[in-house]
Amino acid sequence: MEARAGAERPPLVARLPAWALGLVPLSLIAGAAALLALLGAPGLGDRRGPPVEELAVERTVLRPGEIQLTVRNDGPDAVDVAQVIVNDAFVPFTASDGESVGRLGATTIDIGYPWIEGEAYEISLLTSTGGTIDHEIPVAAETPEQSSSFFALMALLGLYVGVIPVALGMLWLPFVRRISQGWIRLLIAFTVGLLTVLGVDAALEGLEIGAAAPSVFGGQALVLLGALAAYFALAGVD
Amino acid sequence: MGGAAAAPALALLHEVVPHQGLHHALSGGQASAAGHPGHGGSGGALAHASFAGGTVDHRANGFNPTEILRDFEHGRTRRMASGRVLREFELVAADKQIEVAPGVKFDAWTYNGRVPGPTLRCREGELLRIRFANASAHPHTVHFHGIHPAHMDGVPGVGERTGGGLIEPGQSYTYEFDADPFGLHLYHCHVMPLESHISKGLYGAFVIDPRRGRPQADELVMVMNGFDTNFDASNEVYAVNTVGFHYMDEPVRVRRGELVRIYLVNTLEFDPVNSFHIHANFFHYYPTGTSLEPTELTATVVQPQGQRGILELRFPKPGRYMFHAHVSEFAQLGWMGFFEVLA
Repeated sequence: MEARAGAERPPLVARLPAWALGLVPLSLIAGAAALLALLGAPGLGDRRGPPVEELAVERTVLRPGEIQLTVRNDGPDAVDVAQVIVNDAFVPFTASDGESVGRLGATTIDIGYPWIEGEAYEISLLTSTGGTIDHEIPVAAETPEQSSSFFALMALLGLYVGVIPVALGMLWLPFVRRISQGWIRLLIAFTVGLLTVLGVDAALEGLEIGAAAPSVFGGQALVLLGALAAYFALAGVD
Repeated sequence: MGGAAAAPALALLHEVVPHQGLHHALSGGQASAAGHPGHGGSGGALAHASFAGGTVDHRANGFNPTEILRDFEHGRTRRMASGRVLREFELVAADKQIEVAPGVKFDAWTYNGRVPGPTLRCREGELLRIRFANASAHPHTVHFHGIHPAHMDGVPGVGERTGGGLIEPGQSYTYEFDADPFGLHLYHCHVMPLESHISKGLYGAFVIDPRRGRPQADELVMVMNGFDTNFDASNEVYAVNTVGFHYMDEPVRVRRGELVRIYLVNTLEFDPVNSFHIHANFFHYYPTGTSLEPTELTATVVQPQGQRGILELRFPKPGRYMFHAHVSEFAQLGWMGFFEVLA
């Protein structure tokens, strides 16, 4: 009797519209979040212990009598740069966006310093809590001005290393068409090896540069995902 | 580092570059945040050894290095039945945050709320009683350099049976011994880890005057110290009487021709030696101050950790004369100042 009634009346879940079923987990999540907020988020927010001070030096510029560091805060707390030490000496400085750098904020620290070409410099940013953020300039050299002629020169260099060798390589096509299969295999093997070396080298250098970027940007993951995306894009075009 | 390594060159440059802070000092006021022409400067050399961003907040610190120079703690005295003088001092250890360079805070451990602790001054042969109360969150002691019984030495493990040795938070103890020998000594905490207990600020000068005193002079106390603000076992800030470059902004004012006596103590940690060098002058040096005859006439003296000595000199001409550690690194990192000789 009951079994028949069950068969005539489908269960509650089956009678509800699909959108309502989708709403159930969402409303549960909202409820849990509200409860957490109501209880003052126990275990979250208030960290114990001293502040975590992290600054990443994004860019170093050297001009005559001047060292410029662009720093970004990639830690959880604000950082106040109180003093700057260059090679064991306190030095005068100004900060373009203030000495206090909030989370993900950036400021450019301008240091008046008689640096000498070819010498090494160790810069310490002394924070308000007495912590230090160290940055090394292994060999000092003036930073090139970024004018249009600078970019033109860089474009020319790109042509030298990227386009001209490939164009020259194409000129071998008539030659390759006339040689035996054995020789072609040898050339292909050589080319694949060369590309593998370049690929590994580029990946390692990309990871190294990615690691130098503020950690919040996930530089190394970006390199790997970028490579993967490029592969799919090329495969799609092909 | 080329610019500041040659301190005399710096002094010359300083003569050329007007320095607003000095005007404040001469008019009796405090050097203001505006008194730093070097801030943001650029060019061929560092024109002025100083901090960026003004001066420290002496009021919040609770002490001013300019006042520490001539601040001697004589304690309370009374004559005992035997005719001998009893001199009593009080020292309280407390944890306190202090500013050691503009904007740089340091969690110090202090005697009587200041770094260095008070300069205790007494006379040879007196009976001394130093009541020590530990209001810090950590155990401490007071260890005096001088001649005294073992249980008065302020060393953990010695004297606990009579209530001495290690003094726990909330506890107190009275050290009692004779003022002996005359000279310039020091006191400091002697709890392990020693380097940490001393470098956080638990030290001070201890002067025992000879029975017949010393010639009348303008007397100054200079405790050479440093601060390891990032706990890497090396100092970030070096100074005399705690605040780096303080006497660059507020020169030590003395009178031309007057005898100046400097009680110089080295309480620096992490670096094996410290030194004192004066420009355009020479001084008589009395090592540890235990003799009334100087051992040399010189312009530079070196002191290892815990060493001290008395300097006597006169300035024959008015003007501004630099003094600093002749360890150039320390000078560049704050241990540098000026005497302002008034006509």
